[in-house]
Amino acid sequence: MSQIKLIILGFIILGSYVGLCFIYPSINPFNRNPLKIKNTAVIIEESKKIAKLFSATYYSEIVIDTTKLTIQAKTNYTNSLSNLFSSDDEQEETKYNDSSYHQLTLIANGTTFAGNDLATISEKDIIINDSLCTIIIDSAKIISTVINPSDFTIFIDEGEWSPEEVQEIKTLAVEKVKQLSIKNKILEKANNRTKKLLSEFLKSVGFQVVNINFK
Amino acid sequence: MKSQPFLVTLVLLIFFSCSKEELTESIIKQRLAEINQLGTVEYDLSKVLIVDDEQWYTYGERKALINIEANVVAGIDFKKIEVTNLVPNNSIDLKLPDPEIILLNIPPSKIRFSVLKASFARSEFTNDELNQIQIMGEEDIRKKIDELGILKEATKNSKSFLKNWFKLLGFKTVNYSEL
Repeated sequence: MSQIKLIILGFIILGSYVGLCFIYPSINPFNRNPLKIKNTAVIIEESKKIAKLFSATYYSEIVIDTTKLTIQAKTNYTNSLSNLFSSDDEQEETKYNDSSYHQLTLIANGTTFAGNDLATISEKDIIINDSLCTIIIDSAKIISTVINPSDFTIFIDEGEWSPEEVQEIKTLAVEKVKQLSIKNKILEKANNRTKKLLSEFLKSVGFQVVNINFK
Repeated sequence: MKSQPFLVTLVLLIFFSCSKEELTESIIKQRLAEINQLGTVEYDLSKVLIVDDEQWYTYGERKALINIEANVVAGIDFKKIEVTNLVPNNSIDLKLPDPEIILLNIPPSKIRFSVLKASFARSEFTNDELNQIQIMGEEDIRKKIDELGILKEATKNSKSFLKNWFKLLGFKTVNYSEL
């Protein structure tokens, strides 16, 4: 009887431990430790002075769905076992194409920044006549389209996709967000906002009439 | 029969709550917003991500070595520059806001996989795992940005740019104070 009691007690203890492992995964010895990166330095490759007025951003969430079909030539030796004891002439080979379908779907949150480069303004681009100020600046450009790793979600990853292929598709997503922002007139909006911002600022420093012209 | 109005109300509630969510999402997630930041410093950074994945219960290990390059732009909010004193054609006193990071960009094209190795008893890194490693790298860069002195450099360059600019506008002296 005492042996049965011990077995039951053992089961209860084991069951309780398994239950606790579900609640607190850290006490589970088979719990998979999350991936960790080693502490390495961030290296400064280059630093430069700039003077870019960021005046418009465009935010978009896009889905990139990519599929590919790979075809491999294969040979099927259907009667190879029966040919073990017969001559090679009787061996039958069936050649066929084996196709496989691969799908990768990424969700990306991208932001495009547009603005004007004020560093290109030189003395000849500023005309001051008493309280009238005219400035000629470069037209707005796309400064950057940002989709960082944390902005990507891999929604479907079926088949074989090499890491390099995934990066290429991510690069396509960046280009797509950039094109969407241009389509949504980010450059025109950046120019208008820069014009408004600089006009207000220059009026606040004493100029009564301000003209902002774009090259 | 009495439960019918309740069911109809419930269905209508679910329907309207769903359609509202879709509407706000489409508005929020595709928009053009106004910003007024003057980027005054740009840094090109690089980092090597090293992952050594070995568990006590697995046989063999998985190793990854990934090089990432990032671009950081910092500057000041142009709209928050305050003019505290002004003598036309002579001097101007400005109050500058605190510098801030405008953008951190880690382009997918600047992420290179130098080593991806899994021993025969282990599976290869999945694309999702590789993305998680990249996210950890991104978080680490964000944490270390302060240590690199980028923000100090941004303030210094903002002062230098505004000084030159106001001189072109006819001011002889430009003085600063911080907000």
